[in-house]
Amino acid sequence: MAKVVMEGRVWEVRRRMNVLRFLEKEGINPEDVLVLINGKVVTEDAVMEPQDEVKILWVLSRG
Amino acid sequence: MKCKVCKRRAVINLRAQNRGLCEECFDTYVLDRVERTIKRFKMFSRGQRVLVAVSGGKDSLGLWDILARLGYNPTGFFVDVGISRDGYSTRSRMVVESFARSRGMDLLVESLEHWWGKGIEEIGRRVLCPTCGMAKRYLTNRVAVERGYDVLCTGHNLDDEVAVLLSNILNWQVGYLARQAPVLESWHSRLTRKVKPLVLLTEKESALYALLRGIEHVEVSCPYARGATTLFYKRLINQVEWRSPGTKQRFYTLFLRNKGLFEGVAKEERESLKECDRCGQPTWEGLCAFCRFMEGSHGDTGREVSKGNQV
Ligand code: SF4
Ligand SMILES: [Zn+2]
Ligand SMILES: [Zn+2]
Repeated sequence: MAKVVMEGRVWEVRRRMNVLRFLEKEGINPEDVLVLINGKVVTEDAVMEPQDEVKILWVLSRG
Repeated sequence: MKCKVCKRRAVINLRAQNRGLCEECFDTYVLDRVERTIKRFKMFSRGQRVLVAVSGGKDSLGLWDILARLGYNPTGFFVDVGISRDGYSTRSRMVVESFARSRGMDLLVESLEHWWGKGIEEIGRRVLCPTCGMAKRYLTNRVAVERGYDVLCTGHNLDDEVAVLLSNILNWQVGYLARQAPVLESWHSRLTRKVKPLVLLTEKESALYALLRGIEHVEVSCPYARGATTLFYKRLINQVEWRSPGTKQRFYTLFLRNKGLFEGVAKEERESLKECDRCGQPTWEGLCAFCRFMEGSHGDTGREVSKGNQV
């Protein structure tokens, strides 16, 4: 199962799915984040495989 | 997704431009975009003395790195405001200093404590964040002018500018709209020229640049930070952007094209500029906002700019 982490939140994703699908499901706007799979920055069409470590980084500041 | 330029694996999908870019091509794109922004808005040229206000955040450190790579030989400027909660100021300062050291870049550091004998937690009290912002702007302007820098750069990105623009329009802040621009000319000898070389880079692009360049920045936000509304506007606009890519940039650049609409207000403001009775900084009233504040709480506008403190 893919493990997805975002600022303290953790998801276990059982099915193979692409990043966009996951973000939409969780109500996260892809414009607001960067996504890394196993340490590499990916685009929204990348697929999260069962063994992947996925990290979502929030990019917006209060500035 | 593949890179539109070289077909390698893309790291970002620039939907507004309908293309993906790989790590290398994205790096080239950022440098090129900032260089074009500097030229397009006639911000500064090589050989001029360039000061960059750095906070320890991704945007300002990224900007400093970009300007150095483009050969502008920028000096960084950090204001230590003396926030002890969460060790915030010390941590930020260490991040900035280690960035400068590792890249061999020139850094100036000033602290409020050094100028006014106390940090912002004592000076600002109830209205800490706005006072802190004002004190930083005041000190930065003074140091830039008194040390003879030609221009002061800040790390404002497209998302920052668009959030401010939206807020100014929602409230019809005509005076602010007249002043909002990528270049704030100096129309007074004690007012530094201010420019924002990242205005055509989105916050996501700026964050990606910092990440790919391995720029260590301050991750936590200031314990006194406000700006919840700015964040709300940024997210709102990003929702529009997602549905209709390119909206952000269009909103901003078309605003700039139509800025003539506010010229009357801008001219009035320029003409009524005076010098502060106390510190000589430009102001629209007898005392500048900063001196007015200090008069109420402390009554001192600080020491003269020293030659030291170069790290
Ligand atoms: S967020 Fe506000 S209080 Fe914190 S450093 Fe910035 S201006 Fe100062
Ligand atoms: Zn490429
Ligand atoms: Zn003053």
